[in-house]
Amino acid sequence: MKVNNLGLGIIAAFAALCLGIAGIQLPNPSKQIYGPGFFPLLLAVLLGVTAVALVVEGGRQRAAPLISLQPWTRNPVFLLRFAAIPIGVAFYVLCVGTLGFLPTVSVLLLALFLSLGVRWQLALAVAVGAALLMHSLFHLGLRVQLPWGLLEPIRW
Amino acid sequence: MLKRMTLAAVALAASVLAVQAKYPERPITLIVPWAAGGGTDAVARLIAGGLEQELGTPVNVVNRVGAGGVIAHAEIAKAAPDGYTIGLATTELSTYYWGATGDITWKNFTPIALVNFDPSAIHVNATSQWKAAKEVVEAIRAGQPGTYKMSGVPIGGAAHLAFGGLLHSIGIDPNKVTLVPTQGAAPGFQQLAAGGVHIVASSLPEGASMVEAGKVRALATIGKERTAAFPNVPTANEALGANYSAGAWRGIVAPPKLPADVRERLTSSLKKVYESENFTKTMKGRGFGLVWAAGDDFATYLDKDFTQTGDVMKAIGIRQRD
Amino acid sequence: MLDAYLTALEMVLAPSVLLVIIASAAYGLLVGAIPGLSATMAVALLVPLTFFMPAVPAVAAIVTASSMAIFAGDIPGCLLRIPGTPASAAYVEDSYRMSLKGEPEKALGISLVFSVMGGLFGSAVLMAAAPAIADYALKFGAVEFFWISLLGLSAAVFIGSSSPSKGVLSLLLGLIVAMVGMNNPGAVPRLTFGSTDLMAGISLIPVIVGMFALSEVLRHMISPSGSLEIVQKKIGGIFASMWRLTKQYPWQILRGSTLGTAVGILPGAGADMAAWLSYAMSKRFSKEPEKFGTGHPEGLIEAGASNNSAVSGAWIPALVFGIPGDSITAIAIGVLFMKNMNPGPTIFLNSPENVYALFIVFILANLIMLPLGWALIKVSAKILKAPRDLLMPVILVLSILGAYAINNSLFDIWVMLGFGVLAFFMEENDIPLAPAILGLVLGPMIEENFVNSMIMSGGSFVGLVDRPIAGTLALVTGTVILWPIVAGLRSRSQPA
Repeated sequence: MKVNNLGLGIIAAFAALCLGIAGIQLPNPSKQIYGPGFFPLLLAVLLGVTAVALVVEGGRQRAAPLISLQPWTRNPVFLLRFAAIPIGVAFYVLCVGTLGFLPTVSVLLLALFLSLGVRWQLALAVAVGAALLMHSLFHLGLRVQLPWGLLEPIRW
Repeated sequence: MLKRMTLAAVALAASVLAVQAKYPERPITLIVPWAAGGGTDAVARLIAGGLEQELGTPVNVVNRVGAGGVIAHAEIAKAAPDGYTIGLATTELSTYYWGATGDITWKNFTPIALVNFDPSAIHVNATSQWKAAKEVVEAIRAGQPGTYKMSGVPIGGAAHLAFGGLLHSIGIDPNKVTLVPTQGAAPGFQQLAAGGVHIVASSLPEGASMVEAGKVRALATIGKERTAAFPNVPTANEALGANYSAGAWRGIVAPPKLPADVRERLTSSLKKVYESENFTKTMKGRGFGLVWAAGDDFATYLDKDFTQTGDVMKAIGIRQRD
Repeated sequence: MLDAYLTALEMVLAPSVLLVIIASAAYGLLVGAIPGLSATMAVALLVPLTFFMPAVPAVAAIVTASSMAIFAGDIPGCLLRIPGTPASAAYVEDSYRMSLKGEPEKALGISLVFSVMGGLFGSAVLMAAAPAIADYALKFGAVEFFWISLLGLSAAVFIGSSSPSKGVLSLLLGLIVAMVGMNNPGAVPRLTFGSTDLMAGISLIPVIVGMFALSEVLRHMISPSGSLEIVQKKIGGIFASMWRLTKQYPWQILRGSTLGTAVGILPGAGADMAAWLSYAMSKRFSKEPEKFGTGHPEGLIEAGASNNSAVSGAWIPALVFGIPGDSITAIAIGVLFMKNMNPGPTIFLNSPENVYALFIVFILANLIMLPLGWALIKVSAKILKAPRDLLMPVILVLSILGAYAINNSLFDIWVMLGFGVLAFFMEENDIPLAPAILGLVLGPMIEENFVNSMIMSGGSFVGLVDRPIAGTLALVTGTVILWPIVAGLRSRSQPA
């Protein structure tokens, strides 16, 4: 998604406003000369100036539309693949505790491989293999604790 | 009726025995609120290593850094009370409630044992005209607020509270000394050597290298007795007549409602680690203070510390709640 | 002193120690080359293993692993545009483009050879002058650090790309993100929206992993199949053109190594800042600045030497005062204490063999980087010939792991995702990523040192310049920031 300079400037101005309001409201319990609110306010001001610069630049280039969607967004396959990443990460965070690292990662990798059009036999093999390899690297090699989840009874 | 009660009693005893016989049967996680390489991490790893030998199962140290330790403490308190997640609690625990950082106090844990207490100390620049703690304190008493500055600790950190509490105990307003906050002791000592501040209240082990290098002088330790590794540094009591002791403590805690037998097993294993030659030698070598208080003694200690911390934070003016 | 050195040599050349060095080298190379895992993490994870080793191998392990990791981070940056460690992020664009031009072996060779040169330079400085330099470094207080971090920020001006206002926007983004949390001088939660996790602030590594690795994965997901197959060519002679480049850019090598060592010496600033600063300096003083970012070797040479020399420089204040020069030495100091090698002047008096052993290990580590690094490059080239469709999802999982493992925090994975998506949109809109990272790294340093300087001077701005070193730094910073503005205005007023 491309946003032209005018749009960016508007977003920046809005952010500057929010930041400024947040900064003003910050308390200064230790009564330091330049309290916790100083830098947020300073940055809000600088952001506001930048917003103005962006709007001015945007005014000069009238050609580009405010918001334009890239060609890939019109292709449902690409859109799905793109979305698969945040969904996949969310799946990991939410399920790794209960399912365990090996099952979660195998499923995640399998899903991503399939979405990219890899043949299911290869996808399955690499998914499980890579999961095992990474698990070993971190668990045995680096002694980082990864959740066992469903595989708790057969932990090694 | 009697038969049923007997059966119940037998079942209960069996299950208790069963749990006791089985714990621990998988690795234990020891959560540490500070980063790898620091003093707290070092103590935690010493304990983890010792516990691993006593309990016969791996004890993995996990550093959960952030927000002055409140994230790690909160995580320990929320963990399942099965003895497989324990933590190294530190002094900052007593500040979270008073400072409105979190709603967590020592009561949110099962205290297992206190293992270490490092008193804060008074360090000055080696070229400073102050040669004794008395001179420092009198200068502060006589001077204008803000004349003297201290560093090496964030707002509400152990050294900040210890020094402030010390001043308060001898009738000086702690706010006369301005704090230049830093995230750790090392930047504070840097400032002290560079001449930007006058005092650093971090503990003796933290300043040892700088003292040896001749850049910094240690004038007193805010502890009940002198530290063995630094025998020439007087206590605050000896130097100022102030019967005050404060600093940073560390102890092992577990989530609340820990079963009694698991607690028993942990405590006894921990005691063996505490008394082991490896632990005592290493701790003493670094100048870390060895203190032991288990179970209810620890709880009493924590309660006293909680109250004292609240009072000092009020005197400094950083207490947010009642 | 000579017999102490000989004893040290004997200790280091013991088979067990050599074994540890080789193993740590392999470990450091592996961790550094995996996107998402950083050199600091490599050292942190090594700490439990050092418990079982005596002093010399323990320290040798840390020194070797960290030196290797800093170099190895360049490899995925060059081949995949995903830096393996934050220190490689500064010049990832140039090295990647060199690969795209069909010269991956040149980029990798530069990384390897000039990293070794920088590392040897830093080690030489460490050996020759550690106590004296550390002594001088102690004169630096909050005021001096303020100017240095501001100077570092001005480097963003030079790294910036087409539109200056977009560069500033990115910089401000980084600075604002740096403000999240409780880690400010006032200890007041800022922008935390009530979340305990946010109170800890936003960690650098998840952000870098997200911005570079995750966004690359996203880009792959939307690219038509079969594109981006760059490493088709066999990787040829890595060492081929290195001698010619050495003769072509000698000053850059020297300048990069010197600046890198200096930045490493300063507590709190490490290899990543060294790389950014050197890259900016290289561009600023180059005769061909417009070539930077297109696959030009000059910046790579200077910054590549710089980050490895910073690794050695960081040990100077660490050994002499126990004050860490960077995050790696912060961990290393703990290990030194554990092994009764207490930092301080006594370390040079009581157990000089141990210190000399450390120096020798540094030299050794940088030397074996040549053969081991060469081997790693060959292996990586093969691995990265794997189909992207298989590689990218695996990189996603590694990114998740890397973001998680730094603080054992699931929240950091969300951070990684958020910044990855953000970086994707930033790049779509020609907003450069580099200034944001610089802002995130330097923001806390600038604020803390400014606030503390003000506390110490009682609010007076004169306090910012009345110490000799501070005054000089202020002058230099002022010049660096104002010069391009003045030059720009003058060129506009001149007739076309």
